[in-house]
Amino acid sequence: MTVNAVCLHKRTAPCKRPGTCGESVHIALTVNGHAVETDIPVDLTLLDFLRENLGLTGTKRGCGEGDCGACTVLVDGQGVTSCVMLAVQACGRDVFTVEGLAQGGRLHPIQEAFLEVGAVQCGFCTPGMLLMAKQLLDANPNPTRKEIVAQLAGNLCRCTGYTKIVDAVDLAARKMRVLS
Amino acid sequence: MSALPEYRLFAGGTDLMVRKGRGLLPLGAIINLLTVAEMQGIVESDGSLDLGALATHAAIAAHPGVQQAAGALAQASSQVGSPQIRNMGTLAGNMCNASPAADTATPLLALEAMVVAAMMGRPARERHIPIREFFRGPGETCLEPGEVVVRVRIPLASSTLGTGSSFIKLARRRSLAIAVINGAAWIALAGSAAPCIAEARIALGAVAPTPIRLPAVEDWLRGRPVTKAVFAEAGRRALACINPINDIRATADYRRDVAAVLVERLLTQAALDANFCFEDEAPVSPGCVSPAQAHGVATK
Repeated sequence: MTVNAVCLHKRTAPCKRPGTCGESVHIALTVNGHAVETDIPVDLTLLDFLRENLGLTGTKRGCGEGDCGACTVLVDGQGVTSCVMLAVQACGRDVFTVEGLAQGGRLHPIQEAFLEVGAVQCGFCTPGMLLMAKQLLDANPNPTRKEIVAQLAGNLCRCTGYTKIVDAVDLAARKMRVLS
Repeated sequence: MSALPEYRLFAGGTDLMVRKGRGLLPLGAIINLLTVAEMQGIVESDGSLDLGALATHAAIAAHPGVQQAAGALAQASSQVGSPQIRNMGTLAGNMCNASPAADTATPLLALEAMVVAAMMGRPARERHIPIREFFRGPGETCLEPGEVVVRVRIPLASSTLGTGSSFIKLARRRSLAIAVINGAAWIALAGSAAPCIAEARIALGAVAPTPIRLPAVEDWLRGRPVTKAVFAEAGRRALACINPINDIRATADYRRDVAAVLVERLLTQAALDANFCFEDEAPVSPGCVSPAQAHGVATK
């Protein structure tokens, strides 16, 4: 069994060996399909890495404790709360944020559906909602309303009352079935 | 290893990162376990189900083998935190965090899981720890310094017995809520004409410093007929086994009141999961109740 130790103690000179002791660590991953390779502090959260280092501010910071879902991104296609994930945990993996949804100037069908239904009010929870919807619809093109509600159970919205968000995911499913 | 001060083993991170954010975790060093191949995966082998320590709650909840042979654990795993937390959080992380209210703890106790631990750097020296000996107190396990959970083995019941399991979580919300009280039961029925209880196991969480089994109630149940009256009496007898506290989620009195009902329902649902038909009820479907239906009841 090999373990890869990451030391968080501040040192005067960072260790040169990637993935071991030192205050910075070398990571390589893909973000929205683009290869990213860089040195980061080992205790940097994935959320801060995306927002501060890459400037991808579509991912929001809400509670900071994994309870509200505003910071949701997909890692290898699975929704995670990036505020309670270290960036080093995403090393070698495929990270997908809300900025990756629209392609070639065209909104993703899930985004279109949120606009058409009026599922966005203040918009702070929307990126997380969109990505959890994407995880669901990529695996299950024809979800029941109950399955949609269960999928969004980790995402808080303080404006809409959720009904239109669930409507939007339902509409997105129909749009995506037509497209595929 | 010994050169690293205040190290923490880091898997899903969903508990440690919250404590780190609140400044409660003097994080000297972390040891990232996520890349350890030997600790991944779910394997069905002869007579047991081997769950890798790093198996996520989502993977366990979705695994057909777990759903079929360890329904209580599949249900508990599907009710941890939120979908995002279940994609990150791991079985061993939930166990080693050792919350008295941990959702996966009570099914593991009821299913009599075996914890396989190894010393880091000396993986050949494995220790097999019965789950009943694993939890020592809030946040405390029997693991020694340098020891890490590698996998969890769940013994599968022989197919000749009618067996079933159940899990119920009572919480203030449906998602992202720590249990006010939770529990799991496992039951083995004997005899086809007038089935009686060959063996029953009951585990409750958030009613004592660790998740606990209720041996006094289990002994009382052995050999008794499968009736709702017996299960209701088992619920009343459970109160002598528990020692709940007042906290922000509920009072001790409330926990005592619901513990009796919880035990009665756990046993009833475990019996239904073992395909037992209660005489005073019309069968819900041919062959009585499907596991899916019993699980539907369980989540209410």
